[in-house]
Amino acid sequence: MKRLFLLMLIACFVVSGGLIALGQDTETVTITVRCRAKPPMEDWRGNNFIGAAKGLNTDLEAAGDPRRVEVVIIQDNIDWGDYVTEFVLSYVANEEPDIWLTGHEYIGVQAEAGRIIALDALMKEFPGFNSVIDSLWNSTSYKGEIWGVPQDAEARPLYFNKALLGELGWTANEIAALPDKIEKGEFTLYDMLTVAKEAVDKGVVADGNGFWMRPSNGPDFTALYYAFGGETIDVATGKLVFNEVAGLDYYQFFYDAAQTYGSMGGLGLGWGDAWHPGVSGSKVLFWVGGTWQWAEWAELFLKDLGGEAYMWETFGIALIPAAEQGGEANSLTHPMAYLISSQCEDPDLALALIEYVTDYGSNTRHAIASTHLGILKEQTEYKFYKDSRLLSETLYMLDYTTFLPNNPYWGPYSTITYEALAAVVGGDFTPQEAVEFVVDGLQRELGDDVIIR
Amino acid sequence: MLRSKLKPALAYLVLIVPSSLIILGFLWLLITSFSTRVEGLQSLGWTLNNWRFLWESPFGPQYPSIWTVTLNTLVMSLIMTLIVVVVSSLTGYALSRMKFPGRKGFLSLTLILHAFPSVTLLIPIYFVLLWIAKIPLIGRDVPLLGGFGYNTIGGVALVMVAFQLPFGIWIMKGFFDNISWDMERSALIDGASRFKVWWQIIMPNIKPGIAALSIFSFLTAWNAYLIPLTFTAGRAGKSAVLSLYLQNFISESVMTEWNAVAAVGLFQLVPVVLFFLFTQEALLNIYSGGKKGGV
Repeated sequence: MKRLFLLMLIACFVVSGGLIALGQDTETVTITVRCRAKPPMEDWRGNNFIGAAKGLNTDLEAAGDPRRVEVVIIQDNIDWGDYVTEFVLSYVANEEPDIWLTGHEYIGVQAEAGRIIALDALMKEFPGFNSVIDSLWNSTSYKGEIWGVPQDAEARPLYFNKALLGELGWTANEIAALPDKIEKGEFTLYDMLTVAKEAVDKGVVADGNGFWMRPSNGPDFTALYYAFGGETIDVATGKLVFNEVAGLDYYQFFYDAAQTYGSMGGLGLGWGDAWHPGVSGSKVLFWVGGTWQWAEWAELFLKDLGGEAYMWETFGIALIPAAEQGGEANSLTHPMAYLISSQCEDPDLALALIEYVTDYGSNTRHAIASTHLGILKEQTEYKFYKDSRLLSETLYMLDYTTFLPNNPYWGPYSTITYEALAAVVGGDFTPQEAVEFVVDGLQRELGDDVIIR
Repeated sequence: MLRSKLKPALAYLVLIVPSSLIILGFLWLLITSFSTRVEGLQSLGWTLNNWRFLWESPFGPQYPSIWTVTLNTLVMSLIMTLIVVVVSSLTGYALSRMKFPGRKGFLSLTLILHAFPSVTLLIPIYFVLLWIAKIPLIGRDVPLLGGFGYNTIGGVALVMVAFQLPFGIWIMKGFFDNISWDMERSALIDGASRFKVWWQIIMPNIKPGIAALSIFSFLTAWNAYLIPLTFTAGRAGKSAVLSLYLQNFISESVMTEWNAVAAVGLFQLVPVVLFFLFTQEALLNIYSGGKKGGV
């Protein structure tokens, strides 16, 4: 009996040893994906990797590669500052994600710090990336190399409230023609302020509700600086640029909007408790926002009123008007990009996963759910993309789009120029004082790393 | 007659008015958590939807379950409470009963450390946690705790212990100071060791102090936000705790679902209330005198 038991035990050991040996034919590689996403609209940013892992594992098996991928997705709606801090702290601890989704403007600083890898060489083995719209690679390039794969894009249009324009006496035809007039440069930023002032004077909107920008610092303001001819980067040297003349016009516009026309408010409001309810609740005539906010208003603020159907009746979308008659209207795109950590042990697998989520199906799922624009060539021809009215009607804005610069000093530049703007809107600075404040601040903070023109 | 009735009535009034404000707050929380919308304390429709986080993740299938997050929080809070109580009791006893060089200096130093705002120490602590992470056996891969380094439950608990200890030591020293020397002297004369005296004679007499320190430590850890946020990766990561989980419902850029926040807030409150119920008898003894002034 004892001998039988011993034999069975040995047999168990042999069988389990064999199974372990068989199991060791494959090696599991864990790839951590970290995304910042607003649930439920932006969940596909991370969730697309679930399907990608299945596909990649099938490919690896077919190719006889012993590696198998297991994806860990960490996705939440943490604030941007905390999100970037977390990456930096976890990188030093070697606990950072292998794939990190972030705004393209962080590429410069992370590349300089050596925390991410350049992808040019690796990407040659993944031709799927050729389907990405060529101009978007500019946003993820730094010092002549590509450091990230665009994940989504958006337009930052000028929204207008059709119902309120109607109350001002605009006909349906005039309202419908507005986006076209803006695109042709026939309706300028100051024309907009004039209409906004009229709306305030006639009591159609409350004081300060004629025109809103976003309530806190962000890329939208740069689009208006560009509209006045401003530059942010010197192509030859890669240094940041501030134009004094364009800056003066830019600050004069905001001074006029708030002080002369008395039609601008919105700065300093809370997003969820005041800004979104204000614009989606038909309390504001014109405002600059993002296309992704369309989904947020439909899903979170206006669902009870009919969501998108109600919004198409009530809101209109156009480019940000030109600064002067005949000038060029614009928009600003702030693509998100997947970056790969320089400590990732299998960057080829990480990039293979990213290639899997950079396809029509995965990207369109995200684009529709979050009303971000597609990033792939001919994506507008893709059946399911075409079915989204907002995406189809705003895609032309990419032809007029501008980008933030990829520069490690963009953070202080952006902060200083916004502080001056907030002071101008608040009446604490004249436009000239704002420009002087910006020039002093930039030279003090950035020294030779900024060019003042 | 009237005067004798008026006096307690006035006392009750003084108690009821401020208490009712707090009770109303909790009542609003309860009603909101079971409502689609509320106007004041009136529900505009009842629902269990706000509590669905108990059985499904409101942030998609990849997000850790509330139960994992609760377990993380519980482990962190219990570990922190246990270490704080044990270390504070031993230190408080030594500082209260023994004379040794640097005793006063040590006491002053702990007070100074307590005065430091935690935010000023975040970066140095981060480097300490990085160093701990490299220590074999305790740095990484400790079951349940993850370890004691960066991005682990144990690491966060350790940091919380460091911040809580000065408070704990002073509290416990105060309790030891109030225990009569006679009991201890008798035990020592009878041949008991210092440790035996501490454990069998003194500790049973400061149960209210232990309960108070336990509940304060537990509450501090249970509600901690800044330290878990700084020393763990991601509010949805493996080391996520309840205070971070709750923040997912509150965003700077989208509308906050206050009904869901109320439900998660109530859920976070439940263990605290249970903990208080189990320790309240000992806790209330602080105010009824305990063993102050000796037996």
